[in-house]
Amino acid sequence: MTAPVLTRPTTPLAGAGHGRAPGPGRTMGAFWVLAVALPVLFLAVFFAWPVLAMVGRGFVTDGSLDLTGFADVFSRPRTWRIVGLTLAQAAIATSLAVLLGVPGAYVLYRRRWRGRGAVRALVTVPFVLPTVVVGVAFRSLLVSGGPLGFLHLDGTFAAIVAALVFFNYAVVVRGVGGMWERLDPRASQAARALGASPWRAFRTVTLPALTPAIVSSASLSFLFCATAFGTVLVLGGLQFGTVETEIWVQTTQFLDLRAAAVLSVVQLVIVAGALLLAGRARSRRERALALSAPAESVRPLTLRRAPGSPRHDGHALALGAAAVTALVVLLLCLPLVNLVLRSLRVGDGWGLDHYAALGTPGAASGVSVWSATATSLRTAVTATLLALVVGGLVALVVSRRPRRPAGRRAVTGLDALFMLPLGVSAVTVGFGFLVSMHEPFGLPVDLRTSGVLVPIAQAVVAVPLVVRMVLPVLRAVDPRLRQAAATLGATPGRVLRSVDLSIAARSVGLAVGFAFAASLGEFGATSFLARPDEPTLPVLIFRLIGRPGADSYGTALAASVVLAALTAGIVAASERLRAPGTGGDW
Amino acid sequence: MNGLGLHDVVVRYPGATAPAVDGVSLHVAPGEVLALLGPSGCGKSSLLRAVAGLEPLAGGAVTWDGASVVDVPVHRRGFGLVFQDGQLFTHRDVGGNVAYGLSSGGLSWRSSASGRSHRVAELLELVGLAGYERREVATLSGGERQRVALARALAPAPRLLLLDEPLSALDRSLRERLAVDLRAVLVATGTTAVFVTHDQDEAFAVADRVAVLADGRLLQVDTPPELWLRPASREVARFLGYEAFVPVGDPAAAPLLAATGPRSGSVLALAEGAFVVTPGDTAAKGTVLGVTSRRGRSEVRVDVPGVGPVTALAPVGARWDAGDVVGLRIDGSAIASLD
Repeated sequence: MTAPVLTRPTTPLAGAGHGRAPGPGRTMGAFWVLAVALPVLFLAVFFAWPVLAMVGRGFVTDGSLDLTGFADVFSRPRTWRIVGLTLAQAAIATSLAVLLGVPGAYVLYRRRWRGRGAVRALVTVPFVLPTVVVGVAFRSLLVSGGPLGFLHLDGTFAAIVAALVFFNYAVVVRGVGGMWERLDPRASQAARALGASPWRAFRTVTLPALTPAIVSSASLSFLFCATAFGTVLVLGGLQFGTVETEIWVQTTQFLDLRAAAVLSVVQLVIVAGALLLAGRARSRRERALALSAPAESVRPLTLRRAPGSPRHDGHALALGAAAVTALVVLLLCLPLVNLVLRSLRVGDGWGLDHYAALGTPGAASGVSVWSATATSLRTAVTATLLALVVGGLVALVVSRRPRRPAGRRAVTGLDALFMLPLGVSAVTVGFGFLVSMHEPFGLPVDLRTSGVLVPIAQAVVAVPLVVRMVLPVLRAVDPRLRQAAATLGATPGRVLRSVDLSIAARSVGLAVGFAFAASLGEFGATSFLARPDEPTLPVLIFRLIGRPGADSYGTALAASVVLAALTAGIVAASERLRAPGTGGDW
Repeated sequence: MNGLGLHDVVVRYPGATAPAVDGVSLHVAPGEVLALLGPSGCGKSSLLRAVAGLEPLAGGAVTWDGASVVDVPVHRRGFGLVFQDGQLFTHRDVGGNVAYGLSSGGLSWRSSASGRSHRVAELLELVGLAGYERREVATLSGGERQRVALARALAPAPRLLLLDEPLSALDRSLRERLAVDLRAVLVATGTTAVFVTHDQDEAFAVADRVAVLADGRLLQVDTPPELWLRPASREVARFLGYEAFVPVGDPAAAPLLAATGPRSGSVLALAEGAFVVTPGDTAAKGTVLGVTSRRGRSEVRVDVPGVGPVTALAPVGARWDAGDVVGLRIDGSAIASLD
């Protein structure tokens, strides 16, 4: 029974050490061992250990376990207020994102119209914007004197929710749209022929079919909202926050590591719940859904009813969705356009003064925006490479379906393990690095001052993104392709190269783009790790807005525009590399 | 005019140069089953979708009992629809699928839950799936799914049932059995139906009349025997399976006419089996090109001078090699004449 093994390589977890045939089999065995060991080692050293070190500080006093921290922290009203705020913000923002995102998915993915590609790209921009930039953009919109200052929303709960919806609209639109685009329209047509009105057919047939995609997107959005850091820190001030910002406050302002450790655990519990829900929905999504090629199901969108089609045929419904989407797109543009305009505002006139100032070192930091940009780019390149290698290997391993149940469980476990960085507070990771990387493992080096930790921390955050983008593409590879290649005489190594890797390569472009954007905008961990004389761009922007004076503020706005343009440009470029229909979750 | 009327119906897809359906006029009387037969891409499915209201008309009219339904949206036309792959709702069980169309309107079985479940049971029994109400859709076989789809479409008692290649996704033996069952159900319920297929055997098994379409145009409408005996054109004949055409004046036609008796047309069309390999018979001679077997019977590709390559029948177990010259008997019932 060696033939199936050649065609569908099992993981070493299930297959190695069973005296498989020598030759290519052994090389492959070594490869799979490495493919599992390298990412696990990376995660253990640069994620598990720092996080445990940090959490340990909270629970270990004088060498013995001390859990009184839980009772202490949970007896504070402040804790409950923060947990309540986190859940409320995330729940309200997610509900709004879903309510607005479902019509958006319909208009942007189920209908065809001129300029659709551009609007799809525009809608994605907020999602890839660094959180600090989103915060700054909303501040500049809502401050008294800003275009929406009359609403008096600056520093309110509503402002935070609005920014979170702004950020997560694309998550729902892309997640639901990707599914909807391929949903066979004939199921709802069958319902129509059975007497269902367009609205009833949507409610009773289309919506249930989309539910897994909606739940999956909603739980992702919830996750992003619940762990939001940069945006909330900039917008929330002292009054509002999430568990994540509270961890930051407790560590840096109150130096209360015990409270921070307890809150890290609380956040992990919240996030694990959301991820569990997402995982359930995702596996249910794979249940037999009738899908068709997008070309067949996507119809043109016109303002007038198509000639020859009757009234009450769903045209009003489509127009309603189009109107909602148009309004949302306008609202999405508002903070972005305002950010650019404000950055050009000098005193009472207009000018490029703030951009000119990007080259001069700031008063306190002694670092110019351009040099911070260079630092950011350099760091992000390293982080992306790391994330790509580690994430790619994880995706490759997890895409296998070993035949032994133990092997399958191990693969599922590995998948979940590498989603953890999404859930664990980036602030905890950052602070954990500081705690653990002073002479790590007894080595006489202090990694904390070397600056190498910044790209590593960013890679830890970017790995789950890479896995989530590459994995669906690899999983979609028809096993018969591998079998066909093997029967044509390809060795297991060549099957891997010529089938899996060449197909996955199409999604790698997108993964690189998103990983790069995530690294570029990473703020939670980086804010701890960046050396004072070598801040990354988001860290510098945060410093600048914290400083009084119109010039600092203006420079912060201009720097935000630069950072936004960089990330949006990179993601747009990588999106062009994507083969149609191979998007994964986003 | 009672029943369904199509008047110069034109369907055009945006971006396509030629219309998918080009001026088709047809009439389907109440209780009649009409098959739309044609090769893939001939526009038969587009025509069906236009009748259902799923494609806008670019021209012409669709009427029911003489009144236009062009301005009536899909869900108010009262036309049922069965797709090739059933399109069952996977989030509902079998009973839930069949009951879907029963929840609105004013007919007696719609007014109460017990009336509805009675109707569901009645239809499941009709399609041979009595007691399947609580079954999950995912557990059904392909044939069962199509039966459920048929029951679901019939449940609200549509005034017209449209079937879009409902059997094409099934394997052959099941398809042939279901075609017979489908005909029985349609006749038992007195349903007016339009049935789209690319398989002439299926069309002949299910329909009262068959309409042959090619390139969006209607070529011929007739009862199955009429269609078979008198195809209107070489195109129709070729689609029905006639494989060789011989002008009446051709010398090769003489032995054929001797077998059929005098014919009115100008061209003779030969179906498979017009020649039967009979050792010693000298009505015609042909050179063997190859031998295949279908359901135990040998079919011999022979090249007959003046006629061309045709498929001749041969007794079970007979053996020939390519290049052998064999004697052929002529079966006049497999020869039609064209104008």
